[in-house]
Amino acid sequence: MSTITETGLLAGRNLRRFAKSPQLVADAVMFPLILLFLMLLVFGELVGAATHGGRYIDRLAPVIVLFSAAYGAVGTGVGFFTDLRSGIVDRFRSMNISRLSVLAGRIVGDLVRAVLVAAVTTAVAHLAGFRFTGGPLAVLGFFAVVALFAWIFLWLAVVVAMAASSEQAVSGALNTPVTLLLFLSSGFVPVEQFPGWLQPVVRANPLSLAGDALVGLSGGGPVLLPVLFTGAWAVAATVILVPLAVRLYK
Amino acid sequence: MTTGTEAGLGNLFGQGLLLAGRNIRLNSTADTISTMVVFPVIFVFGFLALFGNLLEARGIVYAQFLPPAIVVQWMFSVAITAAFCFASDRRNGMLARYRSLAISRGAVVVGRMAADSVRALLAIAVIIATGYVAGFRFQAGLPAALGFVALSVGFALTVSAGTSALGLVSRDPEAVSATLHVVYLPLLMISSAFVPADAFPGWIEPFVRHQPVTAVLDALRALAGGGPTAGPVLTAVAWLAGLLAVFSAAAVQAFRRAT
Amino acid sequence: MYGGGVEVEHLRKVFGRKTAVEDVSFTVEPGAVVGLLGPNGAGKTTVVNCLSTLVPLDGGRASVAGHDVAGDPAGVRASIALTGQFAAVDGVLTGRQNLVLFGRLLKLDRRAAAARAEELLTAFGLGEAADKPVASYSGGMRRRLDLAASLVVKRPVIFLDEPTTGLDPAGRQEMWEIVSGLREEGATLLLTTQYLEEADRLADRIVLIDHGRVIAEGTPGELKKRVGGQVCEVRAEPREQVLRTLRERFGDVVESGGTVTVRGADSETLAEVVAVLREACVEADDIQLRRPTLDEVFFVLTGRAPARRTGEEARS
Repeated sequence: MSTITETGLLAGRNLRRFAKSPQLVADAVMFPLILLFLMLLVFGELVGAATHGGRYIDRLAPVIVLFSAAYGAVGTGVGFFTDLRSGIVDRFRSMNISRLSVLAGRIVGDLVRAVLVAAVTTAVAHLAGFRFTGGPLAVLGFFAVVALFAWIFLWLAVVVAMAASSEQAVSGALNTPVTLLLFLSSGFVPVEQFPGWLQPVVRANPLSLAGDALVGLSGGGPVLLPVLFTGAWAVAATVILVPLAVRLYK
Repeated sequence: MTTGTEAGLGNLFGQGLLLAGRNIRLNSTADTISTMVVFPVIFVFGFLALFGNLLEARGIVYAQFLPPAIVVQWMFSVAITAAFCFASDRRNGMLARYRSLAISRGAVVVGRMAADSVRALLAIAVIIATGYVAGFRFQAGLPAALGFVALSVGFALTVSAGTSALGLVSRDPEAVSATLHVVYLPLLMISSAFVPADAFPGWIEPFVRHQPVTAVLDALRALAGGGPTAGPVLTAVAWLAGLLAVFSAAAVQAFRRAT
Repeated sequence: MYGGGVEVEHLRKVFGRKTAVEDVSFTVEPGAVVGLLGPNGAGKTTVVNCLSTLVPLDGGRASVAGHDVAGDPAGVRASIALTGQFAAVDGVLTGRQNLVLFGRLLKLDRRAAAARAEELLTAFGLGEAADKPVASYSGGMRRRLDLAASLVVKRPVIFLDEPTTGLDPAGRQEMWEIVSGLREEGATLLLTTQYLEEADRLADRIVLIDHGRVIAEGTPGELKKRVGGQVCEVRAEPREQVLRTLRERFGDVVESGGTVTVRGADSETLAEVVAVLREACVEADDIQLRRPTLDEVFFVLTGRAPARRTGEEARS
C-alpha cells in the first residue's frame, strides 16, 4: 500500500472516532460556540462603542474559529497520547504500515476536522450577524488560513503527546499556551486597548495575525500582509516541529 | 466502645476533621502550583490587560472591580472539585465504606465542607494578594474585609451543596465536571462579574441584574469598596440561604442513596 | 470480640422496576463461614449492601449480631467489617496512612491506631510496602489492604464481597490464606463469590443464588453430591464412537463443543474411562478429571445455563 492510501485510511479512522463520540464533538463544537455567544453578550456593546461602530462579531467570529482549531489540537494531543499508550500505534507499525503514515494520518484527519468545525462555527456565527462579503475565492482563502493555523498547533500537539508522561500533562501543556494566546490576542479587544508594553506581543501573536487575515477575507480589510505573517509562523513551525516530531516518533 | 463512635457532636466534628485532612491530602496532589496560583494570576492580569482600558473609559476602576469576579469564579471551581471528588469516591467504593463504618452520619459531609473551606480560603488569599499588586484595596475596614471572605466561602459552600448532589448521583467524575463547567460559565459571565449590568444588551439586562451571582458580586464589591453594604449583603445572604436550603435537601437525599 | 451471627428472612429489595432480591432467607451461625455463590448480577452484592445498612430493605427482615438492620442500623455498623467489591482505599495515601485514618475514625488514639496499622500490615504481608502510596500496589496487595482496613477494629461479623475477583492465582491464594486465618480466629464470615472453588475451599455452607432468589443451600459436600461429584472430560476422535462407547458404560454422558463429559465421576472413573477407550481402540487426545464448574452446578440445579449480566447491575 502506498503511504498516501495508508494516510487516508488512518485519517478516516481518526475522523470516524471523533464523529462517533458525542462527548468529543460536543466539546470541540459547543465550547467555542458558547464562548462566542458569551463574549458577544458580555463585551459586544463595550467593544462596539470603543471601536466606533465596528461590529464586534466581525472580529470575534474569526478569532473563535481560530481558537476552536487551537483548542481542538489539545484533543489531538490527548488522542495521540492515548493511541501511543494503548499500543494501537505499535500495532500499525507491526502491520508494516509506513511510520510516516501513522503520523500523517493523525495530522491530516485532524486538519479536516478543524476545517469542518470551522465551517460549523461560521455557520452558527452567521446567525449572530457574521457575513462573508468577499466572494467564493475569499471563502476558500478563509478556510485555507484556518488549516494553515491548525497545522501549527497540530504539530505542536503531536510533539507534546510524544514527550509527555501522562494524559493530564498533555492537556496541561497545551491548554496553558492556548489560553494565553487567546487572552493576548487582538481577537477579543483591539490591539490599541492593551497596555502599551504588551502591544508588540499582541501584534506578533499568530492568533492575532491569522485573525487579521480572516477578518480581511470575510468582512474586508488588509489580507496580504497578515496571510504572509501567518504563513511565516507556519513555516517556522514546520521547520522546527516536524523534524522534532519525526525524530521523537522513531 | 462500639456505641461510642457514631452519636454526638464530638464524633461529628472529630471524624469530620479527620476526613477533611484526607480530602485535602487527596486534593493536594491534584492542586498543583499551576492550578492554584498561576491560573488565578493569569486571570487577574489577563482580564485587566484585555478589558481594563475599555472599562476605564466608562469610569470603572477595573483593578477594583475585577478581583471579586475572579474570587467568585474560583469558588465555582472549588465547588466543581467537590462534585468531582464525591463522584470518584462513589466510583471507588470509598463512600460505601464510610457509610458502612460506625462513624457519625454527617462526618463525610463535614469533612467535605471543611476541605472545601480550606481550598476556598487559599484561593481567596492568592487572588486578593494578586489584586493588591494590581491596585485592588479593601476600603471599608477590617470587619467588611472579613465579611468579604466569609461571604465568598459561604458562596463556595452553597454552590458545593448543589454540585455535590450531582456528584453523589453519578459515578463518572469526568462527566460531572464537564457538565458543571458548561453550567457555570454562562452563570458567571452573564452576571456583573466582568462588566457592569448596563453594558449588556437591553433584553438580557433584567436577568443579569437579578440573578444570584450578581447579587453576591454586588455584595462583595460593596464590602470591598465601601458605600452602603447592608442592602446588597442582605440580598446576597437571602439568595444563599434559599439556595442552600434547596441544594442541601437534594444533597442529603442523594447521600442517603449513594452506595 | 467475635461471636454473633446473621439471620436473613424473606429479604426483598427492588430498584425501580427491577427486583434485585426476592425472598432470600439464610442463617450464618456465630463463627461460621457462609459463601453466597452466584453469577454476576445474581443479587449477592445487594444482599450484602442490605445487611451492612447501605440500602434499606423493601421487605422481610434481617439481623446482624442481634441488631435488626432496619431498627438498629448503628448497632449493626458497630458489629460489622465490610470489604466491598472495589478495593476502597485511597491511592495517593500510603498503606499505613490509610489504616491509621480508619483507626482514628473509629476513635483509636494516635498511638493505638499506629500500632494496629503496623500489626495488620505485618500480618497481611504489606510490611515492606507500608510507606509506599497505594497507587503503586499490585491488585492483590490492594485487596489485602482493603481487607485490613475493614479489620482495624475487630468486629464479630465480617462481610467480604467478591474478595478475589480480578486477582491472579497467586493473589487469590494469598487472600484465601488470610480468610482461612480469620475463620480460625472464630470470625463470623459472609463472603460472596462467583467461584465454586472458592466457596468450596472457604465456606462451611454455601447459599447458591440466581436472579435474586436462593436456588440451593447446603454444605459444599451436599451440593457437590447433587451435581454428582466430579466430571471426567474426554477429547478424542471419532467423537460419535467415543460418545457411544462411554454411554454403554456410564450413566450420565453429554457432549458439547468437541468434548465428551462423564458426570458423576470419582477417582476411579478416570481409570475406567481409559480402560474402556483402550478396549475400543480409541486414542484420547486428552482426558482429565475436574470439579464441576459453576456453570455445571447451575445447569444441574436449574436446568439452564446461568444468566450472564453486565457488571453494572451487580453494583446497584
